[in-house]
Amino acid sequence: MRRLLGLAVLLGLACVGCGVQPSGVIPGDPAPTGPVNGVTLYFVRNGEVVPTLRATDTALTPTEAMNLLLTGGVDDQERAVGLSTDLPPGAGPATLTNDATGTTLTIAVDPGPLRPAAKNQLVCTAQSALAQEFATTSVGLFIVGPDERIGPMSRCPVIG
Amino acid sequence: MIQRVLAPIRGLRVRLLLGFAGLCIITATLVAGGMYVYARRVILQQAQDSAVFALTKQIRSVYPLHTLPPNQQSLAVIQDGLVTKDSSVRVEYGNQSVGNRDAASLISADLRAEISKGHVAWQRVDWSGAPGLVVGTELMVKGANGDVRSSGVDVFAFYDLGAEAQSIAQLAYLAWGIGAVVLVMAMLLAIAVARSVLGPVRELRTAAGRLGAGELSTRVPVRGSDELAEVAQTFNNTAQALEGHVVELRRMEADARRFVADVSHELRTPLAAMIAVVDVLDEQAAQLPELTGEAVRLVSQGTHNLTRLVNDLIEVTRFDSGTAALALDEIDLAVAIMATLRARGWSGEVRTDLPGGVLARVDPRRLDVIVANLVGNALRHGAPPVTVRLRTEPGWLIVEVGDHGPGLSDEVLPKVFNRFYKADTARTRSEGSGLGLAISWENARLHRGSLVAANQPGGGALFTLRLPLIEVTE
Repeated sequence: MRRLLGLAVLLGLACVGCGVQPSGVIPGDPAPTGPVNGVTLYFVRNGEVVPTLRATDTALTPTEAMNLLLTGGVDDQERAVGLSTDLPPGAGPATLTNDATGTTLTIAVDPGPLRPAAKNQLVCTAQSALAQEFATTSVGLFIVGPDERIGPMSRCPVIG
Repeated sequence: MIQRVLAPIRGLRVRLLLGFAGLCIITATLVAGGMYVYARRVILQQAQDSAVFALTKQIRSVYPLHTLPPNQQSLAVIQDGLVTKDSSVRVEYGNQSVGNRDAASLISADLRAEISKGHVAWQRVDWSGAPGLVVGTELMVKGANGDVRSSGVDVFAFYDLGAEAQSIAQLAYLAWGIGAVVLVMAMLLAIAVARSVLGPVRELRTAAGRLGAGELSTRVPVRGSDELAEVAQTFNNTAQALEGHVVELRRMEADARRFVADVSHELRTPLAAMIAVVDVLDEQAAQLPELTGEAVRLVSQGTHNLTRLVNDLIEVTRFDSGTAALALDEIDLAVAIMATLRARGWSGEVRTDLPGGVLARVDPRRLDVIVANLVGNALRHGAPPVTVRLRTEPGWLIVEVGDHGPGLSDEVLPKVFNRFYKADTARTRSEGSGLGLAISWENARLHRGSLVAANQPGGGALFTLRLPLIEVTE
């Protein structure tokens, strides 16, 4: 009797196990990674700085990238996904220079009263922009306003 | 219950069939099942791997990304770059999506969780009844300074596994088909094996039955040199030995009987002469001197005993040789039994219960021998009163002879009808020949009746003669 039962179970398994059954999730290689073509600007969402990618026709200089951030603000697409800028209007134009004494960002307003998120926007965008010209971002950044100079700033919190 | 259900499958043929079938099913299931499972895994793995490979290769062409977060148009550009002829693609960013809207339900939360860890991941799903494959991945971007970050764009590609399922189903059909063919072949093989085993076994059984029924010349054919052939050979040897022994025993027994018969016949003629002489001497014994007269009486009695013994022996040899025959006659049983008692002079010593009018067809001489032997035996060895009862049962007439002596001991009871058996060894020289009860028993059997010895509840032996009652029709 037990033998018959075993045989039946075996046959049942053979029948049930046929065909292509749904499976669990099978993990594979790391996700594909590719380059970006454009300028990375940092805006704010829920108090955190978030990178965005803007398509550009030609490669921008660091100063041009900073001016895009300071004067342009978020575009419609970026606003649609909840991005905004903490930088006050009229903070531009800016210049970003890099020499032996350090990296200096000059803007049209005093940097001291800026909110922390706004300072991070400046630091992260500058760090990202400079990386295209210089292999290293180890040099400290100084932000200079009409009456005030602060720095060196700590590194961008969202870039590894 | 189970035993009773399983009883019909105890036959060798059924057991062999079941054994072969079970072996075949297990083997076919394991072999075909194992192959099937392995082949299915290989087929599916190959299909999945090639789908994943194709998708990741295709994804390289959508880089570099230009705009993040993407607008609907750039998502559409990505989706357009990934669609192939055998896959549909869905691209998502946050709550925006482009592509196959219905397929969104196929993407499980587990898959989303897995790809959010930065892996390509895939899952086989039930795509409205048909097997399908969902491959998902996030698009990662490498920043200008070498940092790799998520772009937030998820790509899902859907593949139909119908072709693979069909190949696998064909594998299954093939496995079932081969299994069925193998099963049929195993059954045929089992039947052939069962026949090759059961044939000789049946022959042996028939032969053993015939041997038991007395056909000692029975032999079985010995085929081949397997165990069954050895059994057959052993059977033949045994039968041959048995036949030899039985023939020898029969010859010896026949010789012994013929010898007894010959001796008895040879003794009869001189005994007849001696009887004539001792009868004459007996008449004159009274006038002879006392010592001589006593001697003559002893010789006379011994000669009569010897004559009775020889006559009994001749009677026994007739039974043994099968020449004893019944001479049936219609008689009144009560009258016949009374005549027997009267002729022996026992009428006064025996209590009788003999209802008249019981008519039957018996051999009067043999009935006389039986009753005389039983009553004589009771008078000699038992104690009075000796009783003789006649009664009938449907189909049987019964004569019971009882006494009130000590009865028969357990040791004596089974041997009481043996020839020359004497219960009382101290009285070996008794008047009886030692053949009386044996002859009575043979006579009862000749009538197709029986003679049984037993003890009465109140003490004393009881001999019961049962003869089939063939009543006389008026």
